[in-house]
Amino acid sequence: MLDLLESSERYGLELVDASGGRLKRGSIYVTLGRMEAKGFVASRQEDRPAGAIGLPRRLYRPTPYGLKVRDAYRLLRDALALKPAEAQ
Amino acid sequence: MTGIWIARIGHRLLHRETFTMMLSPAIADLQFETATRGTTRPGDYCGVLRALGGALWFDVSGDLLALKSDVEMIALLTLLQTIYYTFMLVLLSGFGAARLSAIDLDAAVVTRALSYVGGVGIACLVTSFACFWPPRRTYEAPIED
Repeated sequence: MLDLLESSERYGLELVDASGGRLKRGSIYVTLGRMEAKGFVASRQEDRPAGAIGLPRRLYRPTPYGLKVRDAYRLLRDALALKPAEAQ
Repeated sequence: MTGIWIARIGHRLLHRETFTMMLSPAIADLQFETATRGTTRPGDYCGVLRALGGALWFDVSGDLLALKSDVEMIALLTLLQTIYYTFMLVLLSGFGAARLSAIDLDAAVVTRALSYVGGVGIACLVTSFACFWPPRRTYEAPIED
């Protein structure tokens, strides 16, 4: 999710479309909410013209902390994926 | 307006932050999709309902964790209520000391009595939880159609 958000601010629905089926629209908003509570992503309401009807959409972007956590996770994942011979 | 009934339900059930962060974006995207495509697929509604379920679970689990500090008071309150209501039920059901002493206390009777007390205890537990449950949002102006 953080990979998808790195390039630009996106809506939840855009993330679902960009993930190629890996993310589901039923769970993405809850996951994004949890990630925001943990400080991995930040969000803002879209700018809307006056008199627009309906609920405002929300745009998400990664925080520097979120990107650091992602990088650390990548490092850990790669280190664990190494075979013992490669690690030496 | 598409999904407004889900917004109303969520507005009532969820904490303000949870509604804003988890359900409102889902409904907003549904409304946007409906406006651009012209129709709504049942699957889209299912996605939003699943978001509502997830948000509700997030709130309930958070509320339960918040009750950790009140566990002793909840237990005491439940115990007091259970004793009181069990006693009242025994009294009102016409069991005097003579009838109680005449009952043959075999395993079946004890099991049944315990199940009654258990039922009363569960009902009392629910009311105790209700007393300590973190407050929900106060009612605000209804969401516009």
